[in-house]
Order: sequence, then structure tokens, then C-alpha cells
Amino acid sequence: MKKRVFWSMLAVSLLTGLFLVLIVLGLLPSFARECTLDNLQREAAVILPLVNTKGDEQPALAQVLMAARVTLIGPDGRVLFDNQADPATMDNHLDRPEVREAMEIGRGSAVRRSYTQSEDMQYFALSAGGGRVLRLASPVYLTRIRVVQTLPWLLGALLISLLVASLLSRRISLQLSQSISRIDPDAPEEVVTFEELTPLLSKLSKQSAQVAQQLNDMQEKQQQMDALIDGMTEGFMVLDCRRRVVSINRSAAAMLHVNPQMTLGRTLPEISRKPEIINLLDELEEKGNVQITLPWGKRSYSLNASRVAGTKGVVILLHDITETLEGDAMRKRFTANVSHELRTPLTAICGYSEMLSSGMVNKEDEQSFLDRISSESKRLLALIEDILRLSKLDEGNPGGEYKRINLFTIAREVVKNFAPAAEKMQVDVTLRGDRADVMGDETLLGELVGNLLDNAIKYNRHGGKVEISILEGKNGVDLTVHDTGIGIEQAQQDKIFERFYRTDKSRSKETGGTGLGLSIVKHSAEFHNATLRVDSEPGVGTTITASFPLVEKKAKKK
Amino acid sequence: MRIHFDDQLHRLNEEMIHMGSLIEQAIENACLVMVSRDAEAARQIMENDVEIDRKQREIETMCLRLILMQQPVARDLRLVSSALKMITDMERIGDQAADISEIISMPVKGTLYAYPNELQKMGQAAGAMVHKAIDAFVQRNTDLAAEVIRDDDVVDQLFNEVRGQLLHTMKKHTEYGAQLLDALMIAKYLERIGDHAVNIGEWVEYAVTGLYKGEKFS
Repeated sequence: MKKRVFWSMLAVSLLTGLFLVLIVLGLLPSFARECTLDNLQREAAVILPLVNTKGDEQPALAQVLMAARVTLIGPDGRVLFDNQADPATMDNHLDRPEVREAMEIGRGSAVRRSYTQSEDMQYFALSAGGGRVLRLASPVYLTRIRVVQTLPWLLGALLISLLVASLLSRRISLQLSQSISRIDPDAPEEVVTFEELTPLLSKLSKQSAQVAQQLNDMQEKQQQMDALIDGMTEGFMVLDCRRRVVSINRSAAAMLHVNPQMTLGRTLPEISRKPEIINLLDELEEKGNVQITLPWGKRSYSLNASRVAGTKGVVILLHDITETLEGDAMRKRFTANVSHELRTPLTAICGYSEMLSSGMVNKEDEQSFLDRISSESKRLLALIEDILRLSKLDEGNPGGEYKRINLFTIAREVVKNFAPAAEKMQVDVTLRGDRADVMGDETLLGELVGNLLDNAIKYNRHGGKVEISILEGKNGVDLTVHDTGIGIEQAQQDKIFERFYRTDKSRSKETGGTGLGLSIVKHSAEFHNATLRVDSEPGVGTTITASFPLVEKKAKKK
Repeated sequence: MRIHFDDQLHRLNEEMIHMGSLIEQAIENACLVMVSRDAEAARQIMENDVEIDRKQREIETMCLRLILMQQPVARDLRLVSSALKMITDMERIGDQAADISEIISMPVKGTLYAYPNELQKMGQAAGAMVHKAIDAFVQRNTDLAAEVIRDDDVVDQLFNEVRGQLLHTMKKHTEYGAQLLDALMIAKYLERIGDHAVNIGEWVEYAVTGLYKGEKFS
């Protein structure tokens, strides 16, 4: 800026100077010539009276001291007198233009190179009477010398203009830059500067408002996106071309047990060296999209990674599939168990009946074989009934009536029904408590208590005790079944409610049962919004408590 | 030029992590077959060792090329040179895991001797050390490296316990014979794995601080 101002100022001053010089140079010679001619005319007028017709004027002329050259020419062109040269050596002057002019019209002037003195001269000739001509001459070189003499002054002026131009340009550019730097980009119109800047300032203010608006919009959108991504239950990650984590949402960080701030900028292999992840990245190089199941601690995630089209980034979605996998595994186990459990009694029935029909059995054994067939069939029936009941409970439609029931009455009924079994095992069953109302289905509740009592008797020792208590508390009704049986080991306590799970597989034949009892209890309890708690010590006994909610709180029907 | 260099360092880091993952897997699987005695799985571990050896050569070439063509200095040079040393230890760890698997894959004469629980614990401790050592490298974490170096005492302690137990069994049960010696070999291999993990930890310390075993490296 400063340079440009400087150069343009300099150019302007130089141009002006040049024009001036040209004008002066163009006009000065003609001025000088006019001046010289004027002088010559005046001098000629002074000395003209000295010239007379007698022709003896030479001594008088010689006495006149003049800067100019004075020549007197006769009518024949012969030089009669010259104050600076010898007339005898001078040739005829008739051909001189100024002389000829003077002879013709009385006066004449010319600027030309002198033949005698060989330099540029200004001539002025005047008819002096009698055909004679008086001529005065003065050199023109004087004017030239003056032009050359002005040159140093011109140079001086040039220098001064240079100096002024540089000073001025510095000042102007400084002022300009200062006024521009004073502009506040956020509020451009508030600062007063040159009025030439006003259009720029108004445009600036308009643009800054626009930019602020756009930035605001973008931030808002970003916040929305962040909230959306952070709120997702699925884990979400974005990797850049070097597999570094660019973005990770809260779910993903929680799933992988990492600190989101610490993971940013790190590569995926740096976070986990699991072979699944390292293979995943290799595979991703070949294919655009990879889906794997990633075991992570106790959980399992479905990981879906896909390359972002156009860039080298990768988007990863994590989905917790632990429950789904567990459910699948449980279903598979259930199917296998059901077929096994169904086959066992059927095989026995088949074998015994075949033996009977082939007549290979002694008469006295026949009865026991038939008894076996009958008991196995009963077991099969019980099993199928249990399975049906479970599947109904699974569907949430037990088919009974949901109403207010006295749990104590049900328990008393159940205890009565189990009296023969208890007697067989020599187990003493006591029922404590009082009327306690719960909301529920009579059959289901009966099954719940029945199954608990059945287990308490079956897995008891001879001469053991079973104590059922029903207590109504502040939070609801607690049904507790306490026995003095074999107990359940801590590790197995979580599993006893699984279908077909048996704590001791070798004893299943002895005790009978389907392996579905506690599973039914669990489902029934869930149906009644009751919670189950197991306290057990191997060899000492087991206490199972079912806590039912208060009646006022209407149980939600599933 | 520098971008290229950064890229190469990044790739070196990734390959080191990859190799770390491979050896961790090898130890983990070796610990599993110690219990399951699955000869087929043991042979698989031995086959996988080829991959670890290949990775070692790959990283070696990478490091040498880096030093030769990029002439790294200071921290970068330390990183590359310590990586060059570390892979030797890592490869040895892979070999020990393969050696353990080889012993397990051998057919057994007579009754099978169930390895003592301490051997299992030793395997887990050594595996944890290797994991921590690789973590220390990945995070350039000297605290973790120091922890690895300390943890070696645990593995050594367990080795003595296993040794005593084997000696005890040897006196009482002559029928196991060579199997007890094999168990001792496995224990020794595990103990060596711990030592190699310590070496890795020391090289991590060098890469970060410039001090090898607490002294200026000259």
C-alpha cells in the first residue's frame, strides 16, 4: 500500500516536473530570441543616427562600445565596416537573407549560422539610407546556456518531490492502515473512519451478522446431533483414515469400559488388542462392511463396521446382544432338555410293554412291570402338563381369574394335600400365620406354594422339618418356606429357577419330579409381581421367600 | 518426507500392537489347553507361532528401513530401536507358548496327571504381565512398565511353589513319572515368559525416558 502510494505520488510529481521543463524548454528559446531581437532593434535605433551619407561614419561607429556585432554593408553588398572582423576579408553580404530583406522592405531579421564567426546568431538589419544596410548581430547561445543552468535546480526540485512523496505516502498509508485496523469485525459500523470505507463497513457488518447466524445454526445442529448420538442406546464410533477414534458416544464408551476423553485420538488397536478387533480392521480393508460378534467381558456385542463412502473413515455401531444370545442358548437348552426328559419315561414304557407283549415276563413280575408303566406314564403326563403350564405362563395367559385371594387358605389347602408325601418322608410340616390377602389367580398361587412345599419335602432329610409362614407386613405379604434339607450351594442358587436344572443330577430319578417346578414358581411369582429370594446353606437348609405386593397396589396384568 | 515418516512410525506402532495381540492370544490359549489338554488346540497354537515369527521379521525390516532411510533422532530413534529389541522378546514369548503347547500335545502314557492349580495361576500371572507390558508400550506408560517389572516376583514365587509341589508329588506318586518333569518344564517356560515381559517393560521405559534399567544408555 505504502509503496503504491509512494510510486503514484512520485509519478505525478515527476510528470508535472517533466511537463514544466518541456514547456519552459519550448518557450524559452523564442522568448530569448525576441529579447535579443528587441535589444538589437533598440541598439540599432541608437546607432542609426551615426550613419550618414558621407561615408565617414566608421570611426564613430568604432567608438561605440557594443556587445553586439555591428556591420555596415554598402549597396553593392560590400562590407564597409565591422566592429569584430576585418571588412577586407569579408565576402559580399548581398546574399544574406536579413540584408536582402532590409534592402527590399527597410528592415529584416534572421537567425542563422554566421559565415564569418561560425556560430548561431540573431541578425537584425536596417536600411541606413543610400542603399546601405546597418546590421547588428548577437549570439543565440546565451539562451541555451540558461537552460543548462536550470538543470541543477530541476534536479533539486525532483529530490524534494521524492522526499515529500515518500513522507506523504508513509503518512497516508499509516492513516489508512490505522483506520482499517481500528475496525471491529463484530461491530464494523461503530468505529468512525474515512467515509470512503463506509460501503465496506456496512458490507462487513452485514456479513458478520450472516456468519454469526450461520455459526449459530451449525452449532445448534451439532448439538442436536450430539444429543442424538449420545442418547442412542447403541454404541457409536467414528474412526479416521488412520483408525483413530474421532468420535465416540456415551453408550459405546460405557460398553467398552473406556473414558471417552481418553480414547479420542487413539487408534482402535490401542484401545483393544482383541484378535476380533485386529482381524476386523484387516477385513475392513478388503470389504466395505463387516459385522462380527464381539465378546467383551461378560457381555457380547454385535459390532457393525462400515467404511464411509468417499473417505477413508469408518463408522462403528455396537449393539448389546447378550440377552438375545442368552435367550437363544436357553431356548436351545430347553428344547434339548424337553426331548431328553420326554424320551426317558417313553423308553421305559416302550421297553416294559414290549417285554410284556412278547410274553417273556413271569406271571409274578407282570404286576410290577405294569406298575412301572403306569408310573412312567404319570410322570410323562405330569411333565407335559408342566410344560404346557409354563408355555401358558410364558405367553402371559394362565387362563384363570385374577382376584383378591386369601393366601393363607390356599397354603392350608396345599399343606393338607401334601400330608401323605410328608408322612412318607417323615417330615413335619407346620403352617404359621394368619389371613393375608393378595391379588392373583387361585390355581397359580396353589401351584406356587405346592411346588415350593414339594421341593421342601422332597429334598429334606428323614425326620426333617418344613415351616411355612405367611406374614403381612407394611410392604406386602411374605410367604416363606423354610426346610431343613440338603441345601443349595451358592454357585447354584442363580440357576435353580432355570428349566430342567437339577442341583444333583444323580438324584433326579429317586426324587422324581420334572425339573420344572421352580421354573413354574418363578414364572408364577413374576405374574403376581412377587419377588423371590433364596437363602440356603448346604447341609443345613433352604429358605425361599416370595414377597407379594400390597393388595391396594393393583397388580399389573401382563 | 516428514509426513511419510510419521506414517511409517504409525504403521510400526500398529504392527507392534498386532504382534502383541498375537502373543497374548498364544499365552491365553496355552493356559486354556493346560486345563483342557486338547491336543488339537495345542497343535493350533504351535502353528500360529509361525505367524508370530513372520510378524517379527516384518517389524524388523520395518525398523531397519526406518533407521536407514529416515535417520530418526532422539525420541523417535529410541522408539524404533527399542521396538527392534522388544520384538525379540515378544517372539521368544510366542516360542515359549508354543513349547508349552508342544508338551501338552504329546500323548501321555499311563494315568493323566492333572497340573496343580498354581501352574494355572502362574500362566494367568505371566499372561497378565505380558498384557500389561504391551499396554505400557501402547500407552507409553512407564508406571505400567514399572509394575510389570515388579510383578515378576509374583511369577517367580509361584514357580517355587509349583516346583515344591511337583517334588512332593514325585515322592508320593511314582506312576506319573515323566509328566511331572513336563510340568516343571511348563513352569520354567512360564517363568521365562515373565522375564521376557520384564524385558519389554524395560525397553518401554527406555523408549520413554531414555534410561535403560535406570541408567543412561551409551
